[in-house]
Parts: sequence; C-alpha cells; structure tokens
Amino acid sequence: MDYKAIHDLLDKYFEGETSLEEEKELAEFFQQKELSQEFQSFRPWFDYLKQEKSRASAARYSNAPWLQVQPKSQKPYFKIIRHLGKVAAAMLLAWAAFYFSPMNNKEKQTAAIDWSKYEPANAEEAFRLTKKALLRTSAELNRGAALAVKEVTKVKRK
Amino acid sequence: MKRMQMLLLLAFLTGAVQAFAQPNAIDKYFSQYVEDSRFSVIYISPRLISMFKDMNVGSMDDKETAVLLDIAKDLKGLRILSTDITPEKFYKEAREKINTKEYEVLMTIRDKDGDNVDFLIKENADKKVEELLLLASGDDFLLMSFVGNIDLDKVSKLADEMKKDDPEKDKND
Repeated sequence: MDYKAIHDLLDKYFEGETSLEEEKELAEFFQQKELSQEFQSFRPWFDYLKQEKSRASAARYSNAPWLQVQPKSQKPYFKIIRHLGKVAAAMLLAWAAFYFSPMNNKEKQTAAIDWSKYEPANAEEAFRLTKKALLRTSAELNRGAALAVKEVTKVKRK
Repeated sequence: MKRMQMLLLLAFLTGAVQAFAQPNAIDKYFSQYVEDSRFSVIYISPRLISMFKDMNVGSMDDKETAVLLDIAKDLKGLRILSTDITPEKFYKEAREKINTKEYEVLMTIRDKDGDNVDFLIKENADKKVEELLLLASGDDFLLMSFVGNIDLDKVSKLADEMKKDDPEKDKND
C-alpha cells in the first residue's frame, strides 16, 4: 500500500489543510482492520471521530429538541385561558393609558367638583351675578388701561 | 382582526380621556378652595347663560342689556370663588398654582394698598380666548373664571356703558 500518500495526507491533516474529501480518505484508511504499526497511534483519534459523528447525526434525527415538543394542546379550556390572557393584557394597557394620561395628575385626583350645587336658583339671579362679574372685570380692565396710560404719559414727559 | 379591534378600542379610550380634560382653571388648580367653607362659590352654567336672552329684563336699560347679552352669548360658564379671610395669602398661593405656560398673563396691576389684580388668558390653537381668569386681592380674594371666547374689547366697553346710565352700578361688591 502507498503509505507515502497517507503520510503526506496526515501531515496535511495536522496542518489543518486537508479538504473534506481527503479527510474522508483518511477516515476510510483508518477503518481497515489490519493497520501497520506506524499508524496504530493515530487509530484512536479516527475511531473517536467516527464515533462522535455517528452519535451527532443520530441525535440530530431522532433526539432533536424540536422533536421532543408535544403538539399544541387544543383543549377548549386552554383556548379560553389564552384569550383571557389577551383580555387582561388589553385591560392593563387601557388602565396604564388612563393612569399615566396628563389629566390624571395630582390636581385631578380629587373627585370632580359638583358645580351644580353652586348654581343660582334662577336665571334672573344668574344674570345679576354675571353682570356684576363682568362689570368688575370691565372696571379692572379699565383701571389697568388707565394706569398704563398714566405711566406712559409720565415716561413721555421725562 | 381582533388585534385591530383592540387597537381601535384603545385609541378611543385615550381619546375619551383627553376629551374629559375641561378647559377650566378652577377645576384644575383650585378644587380644594371650592370644598373649603371659607369660600363662597358661584357657578353660572351654560344652560343658565342661554336663558338670559329669553328673560324679561325690561326694567334695565336696553343698551347695556344688549351689550351684556352680546358678551354672554360667547360665555360657556362662569365660576367665582371669593373670600374675605386672608385674601393676601390666597392671592399669593393662587399666583403660584397657575401654570403660566398654560395661562398667559394679560395684565397685572400692583397697588400700594395691596389691591392687586391679574388677568390671565388661555388661548386655543386658533388664538381665540378659551378662558379668562381674573385674580384679585384687596379686601377680598376673588377668583373668576370665564370659559368661552371672551371679547375683552367688549368687556372693557361695558363699564363705560354702565357709567353713562347709572353711576351706582359701577361699584364693586
């Protein structure tokens, strides 16, 4: 047998430069029962590789994690629980939207004011009060304007 | 499809929350004053305001009533809070409470006698007045909130109109 070629291949192999085909060739060579003494020391390595390879492929096709997953149970109660979960999540979102919305700040947390109890008994009274309020507002506006005019003329005079 | 419905519902909910936010400074900043028995509170609802025009106010001069009704028709609510207890303290407190980012100071009058008045306005996106706030201290602390598109020009002319007819009416309460 051409041991020279095997020697070359082994050198190349341990340099990490062999192609897949050359590695296959080596693996086949080390399969033979009668192996020359000079190659005996490499045998356990290639035996180990073969063993590992078969184990990996076996695991891939028979023992893969995704094969262990059971088909999804479609029992009715399971469906209901899933839907309840969705509803709960939606409610949580809605609550959060309400809770963190700008109007729900500290000032707003006091209960809404019932303004109706502060309403005057009749429209005449309401009119009188509105008139008074508007008059006060009007007077204050004019006071401000008058003061402003006074100040401006003071400045002008200087 | 279900998810779409949920999203729509959520959008609706948040929209509803926004709509509840009333443009009214008293609800926002002064709700505890309303509950406080030291304050007297007046509220004129839009319903009452809408009744003004159907009212028989013949005893008053027609012109001033006309001016008043003209202002009132844009009014969507009037709230008045007042007290004669520690007016200075409440005035200062109120000034600090109002968010000046939301309410623009229109006019401030400082008086030697502590007769202070502030006008604050809130405008909407179209630069229309949404709310007018009047804050005054002196013998009384007074807080008035006019909700609606208030025409300040008309309001300021009102006093002149009244003075012509009846000087008595110009007196403040």
